[in-house]
Amino acid sequence: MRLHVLEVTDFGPYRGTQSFSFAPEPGVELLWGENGRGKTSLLNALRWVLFGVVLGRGSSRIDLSTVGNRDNEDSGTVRPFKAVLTFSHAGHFYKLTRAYRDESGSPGGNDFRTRPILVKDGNVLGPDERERELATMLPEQIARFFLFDAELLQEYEQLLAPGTDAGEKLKASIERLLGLPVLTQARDDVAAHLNSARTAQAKAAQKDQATRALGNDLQIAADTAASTRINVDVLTEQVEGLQNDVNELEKTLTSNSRYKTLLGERNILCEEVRRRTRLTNDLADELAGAAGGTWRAVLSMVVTRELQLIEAQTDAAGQRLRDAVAARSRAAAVSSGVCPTCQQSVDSVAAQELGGHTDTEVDPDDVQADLAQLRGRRDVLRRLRDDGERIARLEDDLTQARVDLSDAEGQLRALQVELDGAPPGTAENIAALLDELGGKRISLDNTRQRLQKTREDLRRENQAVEKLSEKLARLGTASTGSEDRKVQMLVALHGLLVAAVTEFRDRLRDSVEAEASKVFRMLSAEQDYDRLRINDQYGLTILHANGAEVLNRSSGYEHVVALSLIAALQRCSPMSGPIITDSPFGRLDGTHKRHVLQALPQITDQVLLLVHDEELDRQGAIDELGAHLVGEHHLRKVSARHTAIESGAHL
Amino acid sequence: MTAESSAPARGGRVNIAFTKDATDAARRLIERFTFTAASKQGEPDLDLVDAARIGTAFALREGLPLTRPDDFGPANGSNFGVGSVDPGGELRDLLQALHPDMDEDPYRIVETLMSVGVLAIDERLANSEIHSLRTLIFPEI
Repeated sequence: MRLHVLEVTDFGPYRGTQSFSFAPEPGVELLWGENGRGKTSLLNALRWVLFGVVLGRGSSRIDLSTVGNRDNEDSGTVRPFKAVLTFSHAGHFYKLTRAYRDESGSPGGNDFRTRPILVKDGNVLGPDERERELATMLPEQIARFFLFDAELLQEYEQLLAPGTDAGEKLKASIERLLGLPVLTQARDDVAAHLNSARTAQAKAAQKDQATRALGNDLQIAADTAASTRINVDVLTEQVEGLQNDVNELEKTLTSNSRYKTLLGERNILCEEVRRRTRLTNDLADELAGAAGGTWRAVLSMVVTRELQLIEAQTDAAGQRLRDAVAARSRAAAVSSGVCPTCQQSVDSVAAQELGGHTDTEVDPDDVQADLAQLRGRRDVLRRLRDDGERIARLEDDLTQARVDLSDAEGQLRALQVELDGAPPGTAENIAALLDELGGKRISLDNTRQRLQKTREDLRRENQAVEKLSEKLARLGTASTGSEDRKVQMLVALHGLLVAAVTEFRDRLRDSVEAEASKVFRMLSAEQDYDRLRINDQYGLTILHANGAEVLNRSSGYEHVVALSLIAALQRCSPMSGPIITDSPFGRLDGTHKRHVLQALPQITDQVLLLVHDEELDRQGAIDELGAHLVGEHHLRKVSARHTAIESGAHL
Repeated sequence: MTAESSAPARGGRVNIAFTKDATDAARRLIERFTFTAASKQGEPDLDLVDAARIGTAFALREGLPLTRPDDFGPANGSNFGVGSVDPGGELRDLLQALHPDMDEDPYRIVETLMSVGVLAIDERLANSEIHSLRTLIFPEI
């Protein structure tokens, strides 16, 4: 497919009718535009004309009534818009028009509808033919490999995690792009024919006395399997429906994500305030209980000081008592001539020596009384139980708890002010959406489990049918002979197609891995990153030269890997088309930007990059692309809601 | 209230009272040291008896004179039974242990100290020398 001209009328910021002419020669074109000027809208104009959808953030569909160009953002008036794309494919020339217009027939009416028209080689195609042609050329499911932005690139990481819904959808898109459905549909068609053939085999067997019982068993087993197959289909549909519901609810919640986040934060903060209030009250109660002992804590310091004094006074009094007792003994020995301690006589020399001591008159009983008083005071003071440290610590903890509580309350108030700015009923709506989402997720899980179990039942029942059918064929009666042969042929054909699907899938994976690795080596600036390894989901991991997996790759490398995968899919796919990408360089450093620019012309022969000055250095891009740069365009601001598409770079 | 062996001595003071100024100071003190939600609704965690004990302890720690200053004025503010202020006689015993030479009725001294103590605390609260229980208990911090 090669694009020639895109013409837009009143689409987003493009007022009136404006056209974008693609360069006729193979190569890369650059469209320069500041943020908010309309690069994404141009990508959306292509999505719109090709697939009838306009995407916003998170790949959510934008309400078409808001797409038409308008003078005033707040205007509630729905405006018509249109896009026309001329392109060629497989030697034919096409003109595809898709308009969103009022079909009420009255001025100011409000019956807006989408009208597509496809002209092939000058002939208008009917609706069925139109849809078939479009689905063959560029099915919507594979649009992401041709029209993408940084956000879509980011989604490829999900291929690394098996079992995710997004990953499964991506895998299905990739296999569709690679042409696998041709084989899988053939396999499924043959399986359906095989089921019918076995039913016919059972009917034929019932006509013969010798095989009637076996025929009856086969019919019952086939009926059971058919019924289970219907259940599988119904459950599959239910799972898809529930998954869609979940996706839609998640999208709606995402569009309310700011308020949802605020509500979540408010709930957390409410709980935080409750917890801190409890803590504060508990500490206050404990402190109130302990504060009655404050007076003891206040007194504690002076009591400690006094105790030290009393200890010293007690020591001194003890010494005084010992001295007084000794003095009294000396006086008794001198006066009586007998030592009162050992009862020996004291001679005159010793008496003279003892009498030489000049003892002050201290009554030991007085000292004893002093000591008793000191010990009494000491005992009283020692009894003081001081809780000062605990009281002070509790007070510190309480103060901190009050500060924390006040902070949390302040944050809650600020959050509440923000929430007050939400439209009325926002909180209730979000709560209801969250409830509904929770319910749908539970139903989805339950239905998936039932589906898994039913599939297992079906596998067993199919085996039973198979065994009975084989048994009938082995009997080889004339009545079932032709049906047996038909069954045998279809069994062989089905087996062949099952093997073919597996073989084709393996080969596809191998070739995608090889091609992606080639492109990756061109793009990567890291010499040690050697190649890519593909998993069953088409997720790619980077391997070092020694075969070790690169863990926790950067978001820039996520894009490099995603670009490698897209390039590989383009090379391996029977479908080929242009690559049109919005802000693809945002996460890449200078070296990788250069590498991507060098690689792009080799991936496909029509590339349009929607970029802004900050993202890509123009001179660097011109140098890298050289002769592959086949055109430049820019978006010029006319007014806040009016952008003009102009040829050439904006200098 | 407990009646123990070291209960207040008989024959001494039966009631003791703050001065009027000290009563106001004591009220400010217990209001300042409120902690629970109940205390904010008019039910203080501490009561005037707690304030009386704290005032006495503070006066003792700060070494304020045991004798009444000339401007002490009449003790005709809030008054309490001695048994309420010092149910086990612990305060009296501590006073006597700290000041063994005092020759006055210990509860008359308590009556003096509780008023001068709460007034001193009130002054320090006013100039923020004391701004928490910690700074009341540990003055050097």
